[in-house]
Amino acid sequence: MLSKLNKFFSSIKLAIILFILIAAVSIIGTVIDQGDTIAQYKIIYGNTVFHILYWLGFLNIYDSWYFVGLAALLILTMIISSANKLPKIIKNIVDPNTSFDYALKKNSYKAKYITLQSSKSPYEILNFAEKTFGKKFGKPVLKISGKDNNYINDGKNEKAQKTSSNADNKENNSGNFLFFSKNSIFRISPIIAHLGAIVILAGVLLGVALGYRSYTNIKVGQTVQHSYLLKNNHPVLLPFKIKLDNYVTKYYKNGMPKAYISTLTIIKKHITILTKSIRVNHPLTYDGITIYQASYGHYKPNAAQILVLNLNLKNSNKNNKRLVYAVPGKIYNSKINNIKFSFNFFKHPAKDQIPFYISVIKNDKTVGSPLVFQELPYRTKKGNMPLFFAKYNNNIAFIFAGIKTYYYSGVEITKNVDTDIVWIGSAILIFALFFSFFFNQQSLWVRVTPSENEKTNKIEILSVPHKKFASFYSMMDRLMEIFKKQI
Amino acid sequence: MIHMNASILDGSFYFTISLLMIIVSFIGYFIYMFTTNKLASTASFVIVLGAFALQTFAFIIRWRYSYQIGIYIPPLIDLYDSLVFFAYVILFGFILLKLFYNFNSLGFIMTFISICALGFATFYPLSTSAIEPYIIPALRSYWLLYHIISLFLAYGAFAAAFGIGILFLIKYNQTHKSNKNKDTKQTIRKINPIKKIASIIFYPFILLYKQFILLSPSIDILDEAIYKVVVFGFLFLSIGIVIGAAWADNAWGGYWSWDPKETWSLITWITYAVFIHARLTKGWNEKKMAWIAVIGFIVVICTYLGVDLLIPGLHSYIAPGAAPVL
Repeated sequence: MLSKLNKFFSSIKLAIILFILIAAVSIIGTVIDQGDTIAQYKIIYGNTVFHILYWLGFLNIYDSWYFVGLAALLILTMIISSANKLPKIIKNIVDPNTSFDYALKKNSYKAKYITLQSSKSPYEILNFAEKTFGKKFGKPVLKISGKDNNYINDGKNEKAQKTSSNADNKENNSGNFLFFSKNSIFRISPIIAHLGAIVILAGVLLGVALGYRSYTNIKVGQTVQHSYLLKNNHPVLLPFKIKLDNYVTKYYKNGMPKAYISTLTIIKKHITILTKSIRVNHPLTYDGITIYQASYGHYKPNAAQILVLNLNLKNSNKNNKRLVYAVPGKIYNSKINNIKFSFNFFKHPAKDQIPFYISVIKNDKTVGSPLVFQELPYRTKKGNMPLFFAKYNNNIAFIFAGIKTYYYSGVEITKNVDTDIVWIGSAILIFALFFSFFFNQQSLWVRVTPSENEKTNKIEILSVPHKKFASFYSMMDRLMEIFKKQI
Repeated sequence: MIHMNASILDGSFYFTISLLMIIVSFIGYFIYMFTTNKLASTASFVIVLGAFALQTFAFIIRWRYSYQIGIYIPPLIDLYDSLVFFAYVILFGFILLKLFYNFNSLGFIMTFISICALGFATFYPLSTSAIEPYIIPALRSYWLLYHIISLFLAYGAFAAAFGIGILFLIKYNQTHKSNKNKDTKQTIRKINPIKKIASIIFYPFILLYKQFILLSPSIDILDEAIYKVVVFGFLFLSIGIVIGAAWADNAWGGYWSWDPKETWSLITWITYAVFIHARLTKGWNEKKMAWIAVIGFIVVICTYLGVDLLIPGLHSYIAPGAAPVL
């Protein structure tokens, strides 16, 4: 049972099926907008279709149990198949099976097997072979020359040969024999690549479990301590308070935005920790939490800027003017002769009439008729501008100085846990991919045995690439040409 | 009125000239295919080298220009930039393949893809070569250069794999057909008169086709080339995605947002991961691999253009009048 499960999870076919399923689910996620509100979905799809899509989990597909399940299964197959292959690969690197006959039998579909006859001595033939093939295959891993088996390339191999657990290897001990193995160490790189992928997925899962992504809009001057999760708008209590000191949008000459800059202050337990400007691509990180500039905007304007002038005082007096942000209908104190006022809109303004007015209030009673604004040309350094003003009894002048808008800065507040694990996994994956793609293991055997007539020697050459490449065979053909000439 | 990008100031004029050169070399490769005229292929390759050099020059002009007008990032931001860069990478890949494998027969496919990309860049109304002196804040980052270059190396490699894959499939079918014909030669077949007439009329074309088959490299070489080109692309796709994730982490607050482009790049990655794994599956022959290489490129096109034109997202190329992305 266990071995069956093992076989099932380490099969490449299962991996391919999982890949295809993950791709298919991902495509659904790009066709159906993810993370919209229920109201929006109902408008787009209608009630019935919405319920079906909701039930299938298609509206938040990347968080659905089956998508996470597919990813988990993929991790499982990677772990099991890597664990299964690892011992074999390590053995191939540390203690390779050098048997000629075994290699010929096992790799018949990709091996190149050539036999030659030569009258030269086995010792000479092996020397030629070592020289010719050594150019491409490096130093031979194993060289046995002479019947008495007294020449082995170096001490290590001698030891390895004797202690080798490969029963097949012992047959080589008689006769004349050469074994080359190039790039065998890189056979481990696919396993390391999978390890990298597992590390990435582990980092992602940890991040999902322990971190969060949230957003909040902060009004200029406001201090906040909550933000809202991107996925479900649930509030998150932050470990510190954030105050938006200022927000500016810088523009190019043509009016296109150049930069969105928020100046933020971090406050913890009533102590100002730091003040920093953030903009897109330049976030602020404090205490494991990163704050990004994400959007900006302004609230619907709800107040007029009214400049109140005291006409009885000379210009030299600084108290002769006050700026009031007047919300329509609300009563404000002018601080001049105890006069209060409110800013209002006409319900039915006449044509060409300025649509707002001031009501003057004394002792909680509206006095007189509404003060209508008048338009006066006003000359500034930049040119002429209309000036809207209303006068009350030659005592007070009200100047309409525009509409007051409150800007807010939309910030994304993220607790990214274990992103380093993801980057480490990515680095492992990429390096391992490089080595597994561009270093092909190549093995070569040369065996010399006396022919039956004992006058000539039979030379058998077996070359096996790990990956079946046409270029490997053409390289072997070239080497064989050189080798044939020498013998 | 046909819209055309051909301005000396921003370098698009030189891209348009290079488009003409590539069309000439495409014709040259076409002639070569049917006549095996060595001169035609050599001349075509020289023209391709010339076009490549001209494009390099044009990129330098554009890069300099974008610095002159004060947007201190390389000109790799809008649809036009990306299409001409795609054409450039494909030519580069073809030159490498030609030098390493002597793939003359690949010439007409690669120049054709290059013509499509450059033609689209030059004549598609939404792709404008003008470099505006302003740039949206999100793109003001040096990650941009590395992100785009590695992804376009991958796209170029996948385009090459597509070309070689098609070549492989033509060649494979032809060799298998001729093997089958050998088997059935002994049996008596009824001759369909219409088929016979058709075969007489199309005889010259059939002859040319056979010529072309003969010219193309052996299927073993093609198979190896597909694999090597795909793994090259896969490596750079992986690098490009990781760089993009790092940039997103820096700019948007998370390395992965399931933005359509991100998702489709994952789908592309998965497609080629299937290719690499399927090779290890017993019973999957080279023909299936060639098919995956061909289908994979369709996925690449979906990721590259389809996502922008059909599904808006954080990665959409800036079209005139589009809402600004922060």
